[in-house]
Amino acid sequence: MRVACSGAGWIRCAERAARVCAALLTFAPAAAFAQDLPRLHITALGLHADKRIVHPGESFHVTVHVHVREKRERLDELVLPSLTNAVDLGDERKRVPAKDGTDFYETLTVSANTVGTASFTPAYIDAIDPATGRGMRYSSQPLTVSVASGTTIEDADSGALDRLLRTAVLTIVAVVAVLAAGIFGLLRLRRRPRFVATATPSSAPVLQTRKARPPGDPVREALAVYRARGDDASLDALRNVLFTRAGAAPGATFADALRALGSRDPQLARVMAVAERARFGPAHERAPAARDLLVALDAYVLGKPVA
Amino acid sequence: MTKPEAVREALARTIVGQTEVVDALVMALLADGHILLEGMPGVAKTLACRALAAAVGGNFKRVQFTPDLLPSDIVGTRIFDQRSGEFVTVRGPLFANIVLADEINRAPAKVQSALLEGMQERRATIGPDTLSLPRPFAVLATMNPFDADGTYALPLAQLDRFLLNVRVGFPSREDERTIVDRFSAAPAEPERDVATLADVERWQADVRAVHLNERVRDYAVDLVRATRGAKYVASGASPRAALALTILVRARAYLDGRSFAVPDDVRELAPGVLRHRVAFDYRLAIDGGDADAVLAEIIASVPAP
Repeated sequence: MRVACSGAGWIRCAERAARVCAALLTFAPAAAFAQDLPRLHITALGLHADKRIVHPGESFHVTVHVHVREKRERLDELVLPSLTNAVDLGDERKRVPAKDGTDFYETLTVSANTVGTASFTPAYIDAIDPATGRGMRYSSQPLTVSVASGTTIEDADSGALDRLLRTAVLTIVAVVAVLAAGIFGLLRLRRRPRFVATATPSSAPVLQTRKARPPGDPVREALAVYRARGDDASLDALRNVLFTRAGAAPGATFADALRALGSRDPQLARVMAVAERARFGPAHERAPAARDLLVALDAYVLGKPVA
Repeated sequence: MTKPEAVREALARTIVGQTEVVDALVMALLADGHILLEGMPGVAKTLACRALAAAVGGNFKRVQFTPDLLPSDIVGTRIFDQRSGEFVTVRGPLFANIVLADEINRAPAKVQSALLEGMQERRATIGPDTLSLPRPFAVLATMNPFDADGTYALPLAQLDRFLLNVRVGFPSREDERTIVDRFSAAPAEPERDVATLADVERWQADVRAVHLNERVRDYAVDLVRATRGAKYVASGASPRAALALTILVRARAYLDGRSFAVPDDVRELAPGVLRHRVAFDYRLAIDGGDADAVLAEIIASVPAP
């Protein structure tokens, strides 16, 4: 079993232990999952940042690491974290075959917005634990990164150190308080994956890995206008935003946008295809196509799978 | 129920590489139009036409155009039947579902006109009789643009009758190796009767029902209009080009399994529709320019909807 630890010291390890204990306390045996969840031996699921303190506008990397015992080509079931006070600039996926399975690394390049804290919800995977045959949600720890206003990294570091020490003390207290209850929970669960944070069964398989689009995102805004008006002009504007997101120049066609997009974002490609049907389809197909487009876009901006 | 995709796949199995040519042949058939293939000898122009005719199971006739060919060699003639003591009409090779006019520019203008009249009117006159040509009817003409000695260039008005003009290039190295491996022992044998003539007529009716959004239509019209007055252009494309483009756009959408056309259909097909309909002036030759490159610039200058 691997334990995902970024080397930032015992403080974060203690934080993680506290969260695992808390999760175990709230854990309930999973009900039957959807039949089509994948069967996966997940032995590590971690979330790490390459910087603990950044300045507003400074880009940094957040990596989700997953180790599964199976030999897998893809891990589409991984749901990436949502971002708060940070903007997603892009992501890169890497698969590394290992002797005992496969490692997947999803590296997000993000930029902090304002001074304070940039936070990331846990990455998770819904899967069936082969040991028990039950559906589980395997979750990483959440992640926070300090966004400092100091002109130098050293200025920011000193303030952040104080905060980290305070966090450490509180974490130790929390660990002691939940330890007993955690042991009780462990006795009830004979064999569970270590990274279970919540056991809420999912009724549908998780198919895609995306992050929710933050407020102010152009796609969100164009979607809002299209939802309100529903006319050709707002649909044209929405198509243009999608094409621009794909990297195509103004006046481009769907094929141009697909070429510019490459394999970076299959979800966006699907949304663009639906938009094409909604815009150019025959009259009797346009209403259902428009509904499909709204559903697809809602899923897209929320980081959910696009059918 | 057979789909045009089956014909495309059958052609693709016979014609190695040349995807653009295969698609163009099937689209021209769906659009009920004629096609002009230009390319060097030996690049499977004739084979492609034969393969299309074999795949749809129609009546296929090939005419090798030569300088001594007469109109009656194509359309037909009347001969005196000594047994009956009357003149009878003998139909020429034009009365076929698919007519291959090989090296069309090697016959004089009178012969070309006889063929092109049939292409446009879908009927031919032999003596006192005016006879309808069979349906579906498509002329697939080939032309070698390089070996120009002893040829009769087709005038623009006649070229306009062709829905599409496709340049057939040389295959890639990998495709050429496949050609050698596959056909060095035995000649290429096209697949027969993949579809029927009834299927083709049904497809042609379906193509006309494909939805053409007004913005896609406008884009096609704008592209055609952009050829008029453009740099290096002596004579732009006619409204017939816009008609050809829109029917081909529908055919492409139908072939792709869509019930509606998109701007990509227009842009992809525009070079083949406009290439033979635009006359370039002497400045292009002086500047050493390339007609296809100029056409590509004109097409790129019109923003897609």
